[in-house]
Amino acid sequence: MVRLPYFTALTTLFSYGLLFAFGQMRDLFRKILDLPKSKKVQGYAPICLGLEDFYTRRLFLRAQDCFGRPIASAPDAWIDVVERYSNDNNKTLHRTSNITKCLNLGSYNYLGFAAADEYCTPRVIESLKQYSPGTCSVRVDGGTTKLHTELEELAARFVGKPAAILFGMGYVTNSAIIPALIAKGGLIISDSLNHNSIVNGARGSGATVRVFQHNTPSHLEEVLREQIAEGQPRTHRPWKKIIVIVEGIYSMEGELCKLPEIIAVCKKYKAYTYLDEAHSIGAIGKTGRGVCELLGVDPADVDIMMGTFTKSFGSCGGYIAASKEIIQYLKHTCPAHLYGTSMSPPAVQQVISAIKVILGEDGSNRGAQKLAQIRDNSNFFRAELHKMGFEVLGDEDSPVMPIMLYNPAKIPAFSRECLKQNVAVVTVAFPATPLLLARARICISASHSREDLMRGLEVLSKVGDLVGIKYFPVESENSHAEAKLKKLD
Amino acid sequence: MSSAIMNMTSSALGWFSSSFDAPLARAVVFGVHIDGHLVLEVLLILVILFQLSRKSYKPPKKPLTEKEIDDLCEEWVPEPLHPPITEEMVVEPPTLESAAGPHTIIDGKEVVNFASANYLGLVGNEKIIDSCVDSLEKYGVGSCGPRGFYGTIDVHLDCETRIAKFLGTPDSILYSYGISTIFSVIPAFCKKGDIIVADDGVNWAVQNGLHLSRSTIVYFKHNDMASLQSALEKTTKGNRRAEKLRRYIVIEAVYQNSGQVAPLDEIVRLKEKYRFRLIMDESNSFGVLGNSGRGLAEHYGVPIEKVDIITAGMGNSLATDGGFCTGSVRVVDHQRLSSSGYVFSASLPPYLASAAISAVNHLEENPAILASLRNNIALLWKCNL
Repeated sequence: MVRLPYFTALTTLFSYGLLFAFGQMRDLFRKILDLPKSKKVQGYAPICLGLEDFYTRRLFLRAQDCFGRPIASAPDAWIDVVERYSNDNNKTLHRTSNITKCLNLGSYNYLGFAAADEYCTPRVIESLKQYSPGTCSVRVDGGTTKLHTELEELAARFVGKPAAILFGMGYVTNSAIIPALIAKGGLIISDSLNHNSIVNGARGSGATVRVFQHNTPSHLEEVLREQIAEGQPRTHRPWKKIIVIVEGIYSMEGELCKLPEIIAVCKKYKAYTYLDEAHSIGAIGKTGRGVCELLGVDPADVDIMMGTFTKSFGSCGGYIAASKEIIQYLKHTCPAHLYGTSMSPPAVQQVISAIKVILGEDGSNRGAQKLAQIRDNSNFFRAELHKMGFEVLGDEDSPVMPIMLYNPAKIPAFSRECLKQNVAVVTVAFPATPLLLARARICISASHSREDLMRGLEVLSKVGDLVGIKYFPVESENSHAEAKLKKLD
Repeated sequence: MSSAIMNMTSSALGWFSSSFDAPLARAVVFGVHIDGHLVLEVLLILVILFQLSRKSYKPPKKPLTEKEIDDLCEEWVPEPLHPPITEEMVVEPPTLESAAGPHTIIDGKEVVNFASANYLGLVGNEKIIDSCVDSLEKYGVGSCGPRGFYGTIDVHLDCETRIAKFLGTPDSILYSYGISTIFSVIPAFCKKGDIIVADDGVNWAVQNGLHLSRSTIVYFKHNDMASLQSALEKTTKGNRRAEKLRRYIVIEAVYQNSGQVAPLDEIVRLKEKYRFRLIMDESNSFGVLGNSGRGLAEHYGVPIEKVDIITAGMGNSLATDGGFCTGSVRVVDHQRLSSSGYVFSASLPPYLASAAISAVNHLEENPAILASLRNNIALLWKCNL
């Protein structure tokens, strides 16, 4: 739960109000200055009218240099950030050829497979020479190679389900699968903080969508009871089927979903469950099998498990794992499978090698080492940040930790100060998060060594003092002891 | 008898009328004499107000009790997640054992490959594979982040400038998957209330984009210019100038489902007459049509600025994966923040971006491959039809 101090809420609202007022004033001046100029495109409505892109033009552009920073190396523990300059107040940014080596606390590189790896890269290069970078065809028309079938079996075995199907992009996986499973007359109940791909898929399916409070199984039960009793809107006929969609780790909060309770509720009311493990597969659990392993849930209880290969396996693409019949049905009807180019063969080989390393089938114990490393790193980093007094969200063992910033001025200040000290962080604001709850999100990787983490903590502490985001300072034990001694005297 | 009653009623009436008109208590309030009828009028107004303030009768609502909800939940039976599996669903596609070039190996046999969209024969090209190997050793496979959060690698920016330079447009933007390009671009520009005139033979990805945009969609008959003109006429009846409403025409250059080529010069003439913006998907025509492979605009000799938004998937002639969208600076900048497939998804793997750069370089240096492609197409048409 986010604890928002009252004073901070007031100052944040005041800052946004001030920015809004300034933005409106500048818009007014722009309108006055543009009046004599004739409109170049007569008769065409502008791409964005009036207030539609107000946030982009007046608020986001001020801090645009904190987003979209290009890098010139692999997204590993240390990256080379390309410097950019702007001549017109951040409206356009130009690259220079200078690079700064920074500690990378922003990329989704949970197990360290982002850079060239000693086991994976030779095999990837071999598959590249054999199968070439693209297959130029869809899966059903000659885009299925031996690698694809091998990865489908391996992914299914890794996750603990009978069968799996692959897609070339994680976003498309969600947007194209949900419409194939449910249509008009069905009900989708999704968590309020679900990712944009799930929202798009739910909208594209034509089914009715209801939202339950984030991670609250009791509210889910209430919604289920009410909806089953009422039936479809206006006709009150019974629903054809109900699917509940949750995520393993929520990327903006860093917290795990309460999977055992949610599964129990769904079983009681005969609803199907869809688990999106984009961030949790490979990164948590004793052998890296995700949130089911960590929370002790049997994979057979979850009807459909979805995941992506971008985060922990250092590749691209997504998969769906479910029972054999569902996968056969999806292979026959899913549009992303029938119309989308198949996954690039070197990327498939990268995932195969990465899974083999994690399972230990490559003959070494690097996989187990990486998993232990990321767990230790995450817990150590989170504990230290708590001690320093930052407001950190997320559960134990989760490698994603958002640090709350709240105030809009602190977002670019934090980002730029950290970059000056050679630490690259990611800051997130509206519309990805609620307006008042802007945050900086730290992603820990297994390739961070202890010295890297200590350096990161040192810089974060310094910048945190400078910017003023240590909202809950922890009283140190020394001052307690001194106070007690003084009282005795 | 009757006269007595008459007398009584007339005297009563006389008394009533006199009391109405008699000033009551000789009071004067604000210069108005208080007459008797004023009392009755005030009473009437009070009665009207009282009646208006009463709620109308509604039958009482009886919410379901907990026990009733429990019973309903017990007896509800959901449909299964998948329909019964039939024979045709179990068919497996052929599995390749080598690269998807013109000849490929399936089940140990060498076969001629007419299934891959490898239009320029770039599958297996040595230079492309070498540039990919360099890229893999430097950057690894994946980019591990979306474009806004350190997922922008310098090869992405190089690829965008290279494609824009090749086509002659100001700027372009890269997407990480072929079909996600068009179904992210359409909702980024077309919002609820806008008007889209689309061809009814477009492929699934375009249809999905149209559905997600929630705009009003008018279809015209596949590749029929008369039908397009009547659709444009119908939607702009009364006002040619659009002040608040955005209007788009959505077509494909070479249609995936039917293989026909859209007559771009006609369409551009109609679009300028009725003031629509044009969104064109060039997945199957980029690198194929035109003297140097620059697409449909070059094929018809139309200046590229007349087409507002061009999208293409790179999975066909360029033999890599991903897609791009190009247009004016405003068009491309707008997508960097409001296109969901760009903002919320990881970026293209860097080795695929370098493959795209090498493919475009190869195409620009050897325009002769287009001639051999056209010869092969002519051969097939001559033999078959």
